[in-house]
Amino acid sequence: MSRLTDELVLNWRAMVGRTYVRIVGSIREPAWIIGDAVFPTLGMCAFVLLYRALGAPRSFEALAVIGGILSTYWINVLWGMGAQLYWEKQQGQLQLYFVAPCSRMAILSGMAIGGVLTTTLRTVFGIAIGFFVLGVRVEPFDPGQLALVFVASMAALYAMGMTLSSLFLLYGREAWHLSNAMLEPVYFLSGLYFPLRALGAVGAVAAGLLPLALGVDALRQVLLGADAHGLLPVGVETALLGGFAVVFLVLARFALRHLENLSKHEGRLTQRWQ
Amino acid sequence: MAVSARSFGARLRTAAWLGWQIESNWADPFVFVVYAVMRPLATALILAGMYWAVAGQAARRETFELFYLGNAFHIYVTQVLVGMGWLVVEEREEYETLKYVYASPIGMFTYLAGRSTVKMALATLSTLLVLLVGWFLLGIRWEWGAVAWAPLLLVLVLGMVASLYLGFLVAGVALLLPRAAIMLNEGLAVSLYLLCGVLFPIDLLPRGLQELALVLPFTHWYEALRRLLLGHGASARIGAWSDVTLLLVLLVTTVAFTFVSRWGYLALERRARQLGRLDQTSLF
Amino acid sequence: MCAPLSSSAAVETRGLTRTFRASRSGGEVCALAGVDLTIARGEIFGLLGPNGAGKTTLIKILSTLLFPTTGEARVAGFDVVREANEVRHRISLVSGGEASGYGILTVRECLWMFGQFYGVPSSVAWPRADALIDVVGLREQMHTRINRLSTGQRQRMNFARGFMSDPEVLFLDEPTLGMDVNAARALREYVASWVRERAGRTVLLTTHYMVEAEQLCDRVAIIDRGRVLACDSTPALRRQVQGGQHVELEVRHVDGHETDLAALGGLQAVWGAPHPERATRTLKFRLPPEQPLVGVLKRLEGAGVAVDGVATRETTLEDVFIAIVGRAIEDSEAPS
Repeated sequence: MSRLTDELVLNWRAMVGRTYVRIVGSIREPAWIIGDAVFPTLGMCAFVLLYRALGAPRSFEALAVIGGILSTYWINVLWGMGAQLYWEKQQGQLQLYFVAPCSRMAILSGMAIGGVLTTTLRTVFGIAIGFFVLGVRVEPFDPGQLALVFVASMAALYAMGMTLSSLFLLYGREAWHLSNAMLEPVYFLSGLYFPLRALGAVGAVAAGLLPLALGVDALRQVLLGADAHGLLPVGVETALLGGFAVVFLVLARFALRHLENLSKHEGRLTQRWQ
Repeated sequence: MAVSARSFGARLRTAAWLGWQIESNWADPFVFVVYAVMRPLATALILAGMYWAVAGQAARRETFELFYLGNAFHIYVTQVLVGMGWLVVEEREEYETLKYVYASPIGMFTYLAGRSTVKMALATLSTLLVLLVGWFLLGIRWEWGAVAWAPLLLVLVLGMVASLYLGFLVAGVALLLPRAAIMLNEGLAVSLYLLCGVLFPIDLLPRGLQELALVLPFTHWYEALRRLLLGHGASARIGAWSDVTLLLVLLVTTVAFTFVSRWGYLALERRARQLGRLDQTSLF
Repeated sequence: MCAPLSSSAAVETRGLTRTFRASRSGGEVCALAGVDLTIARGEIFGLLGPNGAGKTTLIKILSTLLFPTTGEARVAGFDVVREANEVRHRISLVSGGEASGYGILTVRECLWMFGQFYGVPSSVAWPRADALIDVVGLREQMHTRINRLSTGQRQRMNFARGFMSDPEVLFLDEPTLGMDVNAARALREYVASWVRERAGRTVLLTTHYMVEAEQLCDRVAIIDRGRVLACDSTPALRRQVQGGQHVELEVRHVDGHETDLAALGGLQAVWGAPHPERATRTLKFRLPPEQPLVGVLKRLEGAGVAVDGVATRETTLEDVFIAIVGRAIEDSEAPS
């Protein structure tokens, strides 16, 4: 029991240490606000205006705004956590993490939590632009249900991010390019800017594989009701997201260990410029 | 010291070779091609998805075709702009070679231009693929016999030049603001998405932003491409101009843009040098 | 038959090998070709070798960053493959020339942060960071961001980071690389006092600087091409190659004839760096007892080479290295 406590304390401290870097860095170099918060919101605006140009009902604009807001979390998962190990490796930091006794998942959690500041600001900005500038509207909703769906979505998403990050232990630029290439395809398959139902069977399969797809669909249903053109009932999607979180966490633990061992066999753990 | 044409050519070729080596050496060719086409293809499919979603309720097919085309050619802007910004970030933070390149006689302009050639090639590949998907999957077609090839070629070249010089400007920002550069690259591409009529006519923008859009060469580039391929543009405001007027405006704005970008890059580089940013890492 | 690995040594390896795939098309590089080492607790152990000898590969295996291809290794009594996490609780690693650290953090913050990865409570980590900052002479820079430090200052901070967890076994991989003479000397003194301060602390040091190895190390192993060629205390190693004189000649008019002259009279000689102002170069060799120096000087004279100066001296670790490895540490053939 004492040993377990020691491990928990160790990993807690490691998580705090890594979170500190991200938060302090965000505060000390605030120029990211323009790049991280303002510009991506403009992309969301572009899709809203496209719907207007196409003559779509106003509810579609709300769909696009909700999707745009959630895209910030996917970006944080992909770049702030997953691909971060790639940068750590390139800078020579990664080996120091692997010599240390703390868990890799503690380090990744620290990165994710540290990224909450930037992600939250983007979300607030997106809400402000979407709802107060573009005039998008939502239906009355249950805050408790919204919070539950949101938390389940984030748990699944970040657990998936941890699993993805393990790829960077073994692969270098290949994994980086894969992450880069996955950005828009995931947006498409998740129905980030349109109802997933529009993709038919493809959408259903994507929802079965991508937590972002389920999360977007469930949150839209909470906020827009029938106008969200949801795929599955909210309760079912929330339960699936919870399942995803558990599965990905277990998978992440296994994947991190397995790929760490594999990269140590092949000597790629500390190999830069790969 | 004047640089001879041969020397310039050799340096440019070396930079281009390096760009190719870096872009192509990390995976087998099949994966490389998949990567090169996946992202722009997905962007095109997002638009298709949006159209399919509203097709039963408000189908403006003509509108969709105009913006699909704009999105296809916006790949040049995205690839080159983002690519050149990332280039500086990678050289400084990852490979730590930026200071050596800068201190060598190759010249940053030549180096960046050479390195951008592979980006241009990738953008061309991606654009062609998106157009092919549009042609075969979505029925977005035009009469080849009606296309005026000389103006089309001129328009394409002007667009590429504008993309390249925008890339220089972004590279300059990356020299000065390493941390911000990463997101600024992507953000700027998205801003142009919004401002230049890629996905919707600039007529939908507030009046002040419309004026800003008219100053950017990309706005006229997309309109010119639409006219040359589909027979008409998206914006009613620009639609009132003749073809010759539109081409002239594109030419003038592109030339002006190159001067502004070059001046901007040099100012940013000078400032980065003053502040000692050329070899300073800051990723966290 | 090899004795099984014990748990009382700080570091122990048996038949350790490591090969790498040379390229995608095949081919292998053998970085370690069967390394047997035992480092006792409380030792400062040096590992000398030219570039590409396998020093860093060995350190990576011992610090759990790399698996061996075959063989076993134990650190602080734990197997580096099967009990890696136990090993990590007890070790720390400092790699010279690495610019590790987040540029956005200050020196003090960076040290504290790495302490967190080892579970050091903040109440201990902050004072320890302050103490280490004084040791490495960065008091004035303690609140400076790392991306504003010079190379030497970053290396000193990197050095301090290695001590934050107060490890049982400390791996120092060329720790004074990039440091000025005074800073390097201060750090060597600190390492020696740190080990003496508490029983059981052990250091494995790799270095290119012979002076560092001679001053600090209780024992030194010389490694080349993945094999340990010699392992003993410095006096014992010197005794192995003693006999004859160590001669240094300052010669001129040698351009293009270095290879011929180095093999003059069957001597295993090594060239030093040229002196541009004097247009001379140093030629070093060990003269066997039965061979008079005057004979060598006459052969050089006959080849048209002028000798400006002659000096003889005692055997140093560098001489041992040259005698065992066959070339100077700077003249390695393998890339770094």
